[in-house]
Amino acid sequence: MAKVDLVNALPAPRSTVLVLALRGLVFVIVLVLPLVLDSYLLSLAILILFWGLLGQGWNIMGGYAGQFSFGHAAFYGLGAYTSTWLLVNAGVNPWIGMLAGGLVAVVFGLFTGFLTFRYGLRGPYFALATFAFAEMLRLIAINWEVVNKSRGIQVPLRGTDSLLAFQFETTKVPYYYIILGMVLFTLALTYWIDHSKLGYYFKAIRENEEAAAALGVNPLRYKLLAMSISAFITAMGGTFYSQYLLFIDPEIVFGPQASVEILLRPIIGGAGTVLGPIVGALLLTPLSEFARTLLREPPGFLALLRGHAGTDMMVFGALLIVTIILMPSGLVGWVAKHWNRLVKR
Amino acid sequence: MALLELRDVSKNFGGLQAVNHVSLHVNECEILGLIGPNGAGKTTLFSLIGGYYYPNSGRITFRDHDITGLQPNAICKLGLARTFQLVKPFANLTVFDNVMVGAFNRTASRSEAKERAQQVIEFVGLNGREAQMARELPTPGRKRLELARALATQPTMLLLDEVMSGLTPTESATLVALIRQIRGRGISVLVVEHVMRAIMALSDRIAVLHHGEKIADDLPENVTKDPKVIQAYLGDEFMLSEV
Repeated sequence: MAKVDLVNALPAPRSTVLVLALRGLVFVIVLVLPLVLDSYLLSLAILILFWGLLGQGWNIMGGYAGQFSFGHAAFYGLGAYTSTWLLVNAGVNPWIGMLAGGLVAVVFGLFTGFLTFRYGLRGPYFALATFAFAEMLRLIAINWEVVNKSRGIQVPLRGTDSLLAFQFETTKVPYYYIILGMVLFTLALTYWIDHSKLGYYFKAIRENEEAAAALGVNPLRYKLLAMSISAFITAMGGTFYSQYLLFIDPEIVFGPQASVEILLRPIIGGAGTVLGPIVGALLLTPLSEFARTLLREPPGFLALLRGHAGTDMMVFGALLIVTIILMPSGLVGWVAKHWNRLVKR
Repeated sequence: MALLELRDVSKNFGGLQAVNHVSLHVNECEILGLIGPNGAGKTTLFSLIGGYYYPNSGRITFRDHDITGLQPNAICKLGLARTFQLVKPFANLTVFDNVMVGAFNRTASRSEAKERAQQVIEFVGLNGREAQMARELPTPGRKRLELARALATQPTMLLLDEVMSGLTPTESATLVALIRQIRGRGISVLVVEHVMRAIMALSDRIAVLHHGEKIADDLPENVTKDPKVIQAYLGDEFMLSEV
């Protein structure tokens, strides 16, 4: 039916073919990338995908269901700590540890979610509560001997590369494909959610909870569902981090900076869109790496910046404000809105 | 047979008795108008039926289910859908997606929901605007959208909270015709309305609330002649000058 096509706002058939070809091209490039990149660029690519994954996790809850979390470090840290603790203390395989970490994060999410949603915390109040829960976990980790207090946990070196053990010491290439697989999986999942009843209900809750309830949406159930999916994905990212860098401590995985970095990319890329978190990661991660090197060894005319670590976070803060004012639905949302005008020109 | 029945329902907010021992019923395929001056307790009564407030006393039954204290979403699932006096569109979703949310009430299938949504959109006359963002709709369009979403949930009864307010006489006339058509499809309607002309023309029966109490429940032509109703709306002075 013509009307339904209009609704989907599909571009003309010729450009559909073009879009498909472009997608194929991107996919091939992404697959062969590790073969051409040097070690530095490869680790940058891994970081982009890694932040894309975490952003994707945040996006389900913060972007789609509109429950703005300022404490996703809680899930991230629980994923990292669970799998790493199990590996070091019980010899549990990190792949299994990753699932265990995901489940621990889901349970924690359901618990905190139930408390906050049940008592009607919304908007900034909900954000503050999630922040508090993440801080609580950070303080517990810092003071708990079982997890080595603030010394953190080191993943023991094996001396060999092993996919089964999720650990590679001579090459980074397998990490690239593992994180790529995770990102593609969550992309597919997000696309599916976006097009299903689940996604419609998430968005309805984001737009107006009362109206959603009047249309048969159970807000508590669907918010907890969003929380669970989001927590699981984010925890998977935590395990990946630990197996990739082989060291975690409370500050790195439970700290507020992690929470901020997780939400930064999806918001700038486009919260509540399928591609937003990836676009955000693609844009901000190189910028962040560049800024970090620049601050560590600034060229002569920028010498005054030397040693001022954290200046990059100020730049990101400014970028975030500008994005929220000028493009409230992020880059992807902005392009989607102006697509027709851009193409016709 | 009564589809919706309120028995002796009361609700007070602190010292204010907003709804005072009201009993009311709506029959199958009936349009019941609920009127009353400002502050009479109409919207409170509405919120009690919709599950947004819990009554201090009394029971509410719908299709022989006791719905007193059920969550709004559970009440919608049972087939009782409502609109809001201050329309609440999902502003950043398209008109079509707004209606889709309602359509998912009875199905998990996207294609079935799409079909349902398209039918409802055409029924309320929003076709051609499917791809528009809900926030871009003018007031009459938003009222129609509110109606379309509620209809998409496939209710057996509709609660309409002041759908005519803010509309021109022509616009409200088309809406009256639309609500008649809805009833024609076997859906009962409870309308709360300020626009007297519209509600008189529309309702099979009219209940009048005043200070939280039901003071009349009769055919429209009888209600307009009821001295208690005239007094409630126009005050004692009017009564005296009439005499």
